[in-house]
Amino acid sequence: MRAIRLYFMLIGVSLRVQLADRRSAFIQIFGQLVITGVEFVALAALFERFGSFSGWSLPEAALLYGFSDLVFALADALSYGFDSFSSLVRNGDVDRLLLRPMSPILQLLGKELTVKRAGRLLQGAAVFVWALIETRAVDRASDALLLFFAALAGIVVFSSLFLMQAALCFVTVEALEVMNAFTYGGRQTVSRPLSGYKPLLRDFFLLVVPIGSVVYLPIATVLGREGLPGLPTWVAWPALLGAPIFAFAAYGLWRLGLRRHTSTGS
Amino acid sequence: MKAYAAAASSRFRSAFQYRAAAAAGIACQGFWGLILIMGLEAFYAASAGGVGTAGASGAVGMAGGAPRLGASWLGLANGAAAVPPLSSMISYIWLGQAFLVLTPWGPDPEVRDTIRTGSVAIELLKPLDLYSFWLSKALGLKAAQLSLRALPVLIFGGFLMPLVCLGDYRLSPPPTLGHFFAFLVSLVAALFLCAAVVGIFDILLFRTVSAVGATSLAASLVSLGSGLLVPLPVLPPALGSTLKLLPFSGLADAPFRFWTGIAPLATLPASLAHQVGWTIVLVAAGRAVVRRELLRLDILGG
Repeated sequence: MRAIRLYFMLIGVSLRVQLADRRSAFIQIFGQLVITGVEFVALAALFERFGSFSGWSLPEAALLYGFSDLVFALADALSYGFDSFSSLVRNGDVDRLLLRPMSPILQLLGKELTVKRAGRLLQGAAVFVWALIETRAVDRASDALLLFFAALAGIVVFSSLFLMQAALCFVTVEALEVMNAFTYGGRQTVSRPLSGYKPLLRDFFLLVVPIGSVVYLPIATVLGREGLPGLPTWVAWPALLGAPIFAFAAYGLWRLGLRRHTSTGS
Repeated sequence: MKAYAAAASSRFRSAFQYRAAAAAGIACQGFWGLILIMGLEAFYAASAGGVGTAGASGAVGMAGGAPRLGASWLGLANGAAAVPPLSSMISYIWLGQAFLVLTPWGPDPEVRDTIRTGSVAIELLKPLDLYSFWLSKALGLKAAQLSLRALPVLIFGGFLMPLVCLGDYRLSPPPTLGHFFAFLVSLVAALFLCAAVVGIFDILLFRTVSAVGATSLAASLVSLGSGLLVPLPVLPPALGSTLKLLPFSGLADAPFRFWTGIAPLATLPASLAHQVGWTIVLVAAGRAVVRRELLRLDILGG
């Protein structure tokens, strides 16, 4: 309980810092909105030229695209501490983290809730709402509930990836770009219907990094589609369990890294 | 002149130091390239029966046939020009990954720091033209990044893909030797254009330190306009040909069209004129702005 109160205090401080200069914060949000908006323009242009993706129309694919962007933006905003962990390792500041009587993970989470990610969030939300109106997909309470849990699970999976990136810092701080393949690569892959990809890539993001299981399958279900040919739609519910399993694995790697950590810096 | 050459070569050497980072970058780009390729392949598969007609009726399976945004979007788009073959677009995407550094989305970090810390004042004391100094540094940095990244990614796409049974996704060589040389010439022009674009990013920073808004606008124009986000030849023709006029197509799209054989060799002079013309315009504009800005420059830091 105390830890949670502390977390919200830390986040409150970080928000006040970032919003101290309102104009700058607004411009940063706007900048992200523009950059991510262009990605959707590109996707819409491809639909304009080719018609469909794996049998999905643009509004259906937009529902998936908007949802995955929403989830990624939230996870990205929450995980700033994991994402910037390499600088702590490089400067030897991890020691300070370990000396304080609070879980290091919670301290990292409390480091910053990145306000500028609101740009991607707004863009994803706008696309998602447009797609909802176009497809009239979520018309049952169970659909809404499924998407709510899917969003939570998606945030957990993406945040776990960022935690794994932080754990990798204990081994190397140079090769971190590798993790982008899974974080940004995962977002890019899951923003389009996974059924259109070759099994190699599709199964990787369903089974190894279960972001497809917790984001793509639920969206397919609320659209009344089979996520994969022959797969019943109720599978989306148990598939959400991929998130806690994956988080557990990420936590294990983090513990492992922390144990073998030797301090640097002065 | 010697000083500018020294600025370019020292930046080249320092950027060459980070080999582990480069290896990670290459792995990441290889994976990213595959994601982009498979994402485009699915679009091609959907329209196997002929672009522009397939999917339009079949795709809207449910929810009572929601109207497609596509129908009237950008007017005459459909059917005006044939979509290039998938294999050439796969090569295009690999080239985009290999020459990623030619599509800049921000200022030179070193220049950014000199402006943030105020040490730009010291640079101004040097008997050098500031803007030429920046451009030379950008050129050196980009040349180093290019030689570090390009060849490994080209090898990844050209040779590794067939080895791991992903031969369909391999980078194909240019159709003729002539196309290859046209590509090389166009690539050199792209390198200079790239330095000019980085210079513009540097200037955006000069005006206000939190120039994030303008920088992001420019960055999204670069990523869409260069063909990095989606190859320009597969965009709806109206959009694709508009983007081709902007300077950013000269960063990547122009040389890639020669490698993949989409552009006939006869178009090389026009394509080069586009690149060189924009380079001159951007450099001249940048130089004019810097000259004016220097008269009212506030130095940061202390």
